[in-house]
Amino acid sequence: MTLASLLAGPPSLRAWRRICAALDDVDALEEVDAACVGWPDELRRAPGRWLRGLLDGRPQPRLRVTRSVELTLVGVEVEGDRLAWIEAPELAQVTILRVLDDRFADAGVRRWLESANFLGIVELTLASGISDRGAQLLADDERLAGLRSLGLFRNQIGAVGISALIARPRPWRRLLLGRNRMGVAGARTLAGPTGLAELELLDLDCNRLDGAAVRALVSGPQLAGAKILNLSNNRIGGEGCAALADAPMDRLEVLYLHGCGLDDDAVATLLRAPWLSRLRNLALSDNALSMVSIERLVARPTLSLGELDICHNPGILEGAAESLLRGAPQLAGLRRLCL
Amino acid sequence: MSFIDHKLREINCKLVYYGPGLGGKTTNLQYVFNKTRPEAKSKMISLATETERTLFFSFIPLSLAEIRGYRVRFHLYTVPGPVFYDSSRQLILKGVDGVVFVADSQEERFEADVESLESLESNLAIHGYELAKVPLVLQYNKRDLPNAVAVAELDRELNTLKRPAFEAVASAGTGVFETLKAIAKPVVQGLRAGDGS
Repeated sequence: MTLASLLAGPPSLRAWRRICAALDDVDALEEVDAACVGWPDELRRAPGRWLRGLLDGRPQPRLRVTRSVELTLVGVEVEGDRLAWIEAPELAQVTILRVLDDRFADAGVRRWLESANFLGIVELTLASGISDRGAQLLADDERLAGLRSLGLFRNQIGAVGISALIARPRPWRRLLLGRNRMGVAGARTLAGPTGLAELELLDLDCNRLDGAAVRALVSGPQLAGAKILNLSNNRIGGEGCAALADAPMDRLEVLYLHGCGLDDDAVATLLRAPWLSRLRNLALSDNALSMVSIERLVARPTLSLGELDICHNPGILEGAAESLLRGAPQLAGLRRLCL
Repeated sequence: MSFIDHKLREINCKLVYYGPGLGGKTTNLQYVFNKTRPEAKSKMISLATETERTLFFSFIPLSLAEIRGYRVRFHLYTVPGPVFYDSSRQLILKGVDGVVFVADSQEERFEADVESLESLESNLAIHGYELAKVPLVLQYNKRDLPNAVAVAELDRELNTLKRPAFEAVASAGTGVFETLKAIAKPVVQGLRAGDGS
């Protein structure tokens, strides 16, 4: 297939891969850029080999045609300037940026703030090692106003940083704050008066939250429109489940409660939630559940899940649990069952 | 890359099962685990670690000859199911000796296969590895489903490097050990070449 036919065809990741491969051999940047104007930015990904070249200090003009960058620099040594991508003119047009760099920290945030790139960014992930101070600095960045998704997971952000980030109206649909240091204070901050009116995804994985923190969180309006909620690896226990069950989360479709210190009573409490019938994906793995919870799940006639993760619960017998769950007519659509 | 435990006289190799969510990576690992003799394997471990939930176990293939008095222990890794952070799948590639790419043969998962392969190639490149130089085997899983894409098409799109590729129905064990043997071969050859024997 020729480059011309790829450019004339429908947008797809397959086609984009081939276009990038072609650009390794021919100089057709202007042609590609013009032909791909209508392509979704998510498809126009920067190939890793080009990004590696940039990190190694070699100019990468081909990156001008890309709009999406994902950099995972964990345990990766870079001889040149590790943060060179921030000012690289080749990446000025990027609108989707996901960076996980184990040495990013507040110094990376400061460098980011000095950059005139990424003015049209709509999805931003920056990690790791960003502190409250870094989050405060980032909060003043005008580019955050145009985001639909902000990911600051795997950092060291607490209530102070969160307060700064959400102090003004934000049109964010997705907010990923997993693996930070929120605690109860952070949950209360997040639940307070904020401009997060359109949130569809909230990730608070591993944030030192307890039942009281969840109670505080659901007292605010932010979760009303949430479709995806991740509270995994927080010891929310029965109190947290009760808070969730009472919350008006009428749009919730995905709930992750992996490693939350739940027992059968906690799950029984959760199962009384009126929003349960909308749920499509539920993770209850790595808790302290027994077959009693399986029986209670099966007994809920309105529970219609597509995915259920209940692995790593020592009291659940795999064969018996699978038999019960597969035999429940309301769970006929269960396409993924993790035992 | 592989590390040597001189105390136990073992060479440890990391094999990563990579691919789109729900494609059968975990099923592969579970099948190998269940069919491996207890005395030759570790426990299956699922950890919530820096790489999210990682599923792994190790085993020593009893049929494999020692390399200069050292046994070879394979560590099989995967990131089970959909992950919350996409970067999690990438982190598991650190120090990898060989990759099994488990593709989902279903037509509606074709784009997810391409996306996963793209992320594999891209992230290896950022780590300074070339996919072309990393031992790689492809497995076209779920061949028993009626909506499976033709193998020729999967080959054309996913196997541009012309690596060994196997049809599989991992849930029934079909193709699982063939795939494992195929990835073990170049890894062990690499060890022997490094050993000079």
